[in-house]
Amino acid sequence: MQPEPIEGIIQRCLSGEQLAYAALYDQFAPGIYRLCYSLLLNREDAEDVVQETFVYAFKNLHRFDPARASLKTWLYTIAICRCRNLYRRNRRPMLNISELLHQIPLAPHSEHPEAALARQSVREAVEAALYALNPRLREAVVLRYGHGLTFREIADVMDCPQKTAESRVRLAHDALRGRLGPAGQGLLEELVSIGLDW
Amino acid sequence: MKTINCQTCRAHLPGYAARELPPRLRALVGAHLDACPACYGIYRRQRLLMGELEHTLPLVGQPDLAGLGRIWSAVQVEMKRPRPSAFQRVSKRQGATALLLLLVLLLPWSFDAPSMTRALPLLPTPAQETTQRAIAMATEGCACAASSRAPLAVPSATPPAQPNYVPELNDALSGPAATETP
Repeated sequence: MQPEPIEGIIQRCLSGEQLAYAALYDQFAPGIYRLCYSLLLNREDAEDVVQETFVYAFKNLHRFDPARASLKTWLYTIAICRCRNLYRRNRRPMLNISELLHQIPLAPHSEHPEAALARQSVREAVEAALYALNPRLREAVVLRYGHGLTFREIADVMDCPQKTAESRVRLAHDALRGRLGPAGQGLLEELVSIGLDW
Repeated sequence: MKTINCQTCRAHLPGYAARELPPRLRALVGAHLDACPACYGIYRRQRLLMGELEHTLPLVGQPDLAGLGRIWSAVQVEMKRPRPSAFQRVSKRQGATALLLLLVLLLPWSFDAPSMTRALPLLPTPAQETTQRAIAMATEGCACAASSRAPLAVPSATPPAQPNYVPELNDALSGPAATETP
């Protein structure tokens, strides 16, 4: 069965169908949450921003113009604006170390303990590297590699020229290379040797 | 064939690695990478890092179903809430700013303006000046006033005298015929 096209779901939303809103939420909420968490690195803040994003989007759905951008890009733009408001209020994202320590995922039965440990270490290293990045560079690199957006889409979401989006990703590479080198690459090689399926 | 320098090549490396450059620019970057070992080394390291980020970044912030359900409940509550009026939408901060701005605008007008008005005396009108000088002359004496001051300009009811005006001659010349209407 083919999934319903987004335009159809939007039309149903505009006609007041509650199930259509739920369908949109189910489709986009995981991505929006990952984006917000990657930028804010705080679970409560990310949940607040996701909530604000969807409330704003649903109340202003009649303003969405499919000719200008996809719904995903529009939602990402709203979420990034909300995250930026939060940066300005907090100045620095608050990394909750105790929360990170309590979020260590349990290894599945089929997973080697070494692989689980390596995966956790890689994720912690990535989060620490993201935390140290400039917010604009973090946005660019998260949109590019965390969500697979093209540079054109990144430029639309970040409201900048495409070349600026490319430069930000390149600068983020330079900043991340030093930080991820020992923890990231070495552990990735270890994961590959163990045969972990990502 | 046109070539590009190392700086331009490195600026386009993310787009080149992601295969998102226009064909002509892609060919230029590729030609430069073939010829420049330093840029090629950077490109290789960048490819490694990209692979690493593509694997690791999607792991950051994986949502749990309970969290998403909690957010959905909150979204539904917010959606059911009636839309606030324009007056209610003005936040406290905006209201305080507007009030402060109004006070700043009104302050000089309400505080400084009367004192400035008091500081500047009103200029006397000609009638007042005449009255004052007449009173001064009456109290000090006409001779003294006439000798020490300029002649007083007292407005009279009759028109000012015209040069070469002789009433008898003018009456004779005009006569009754001139005055009578035909």
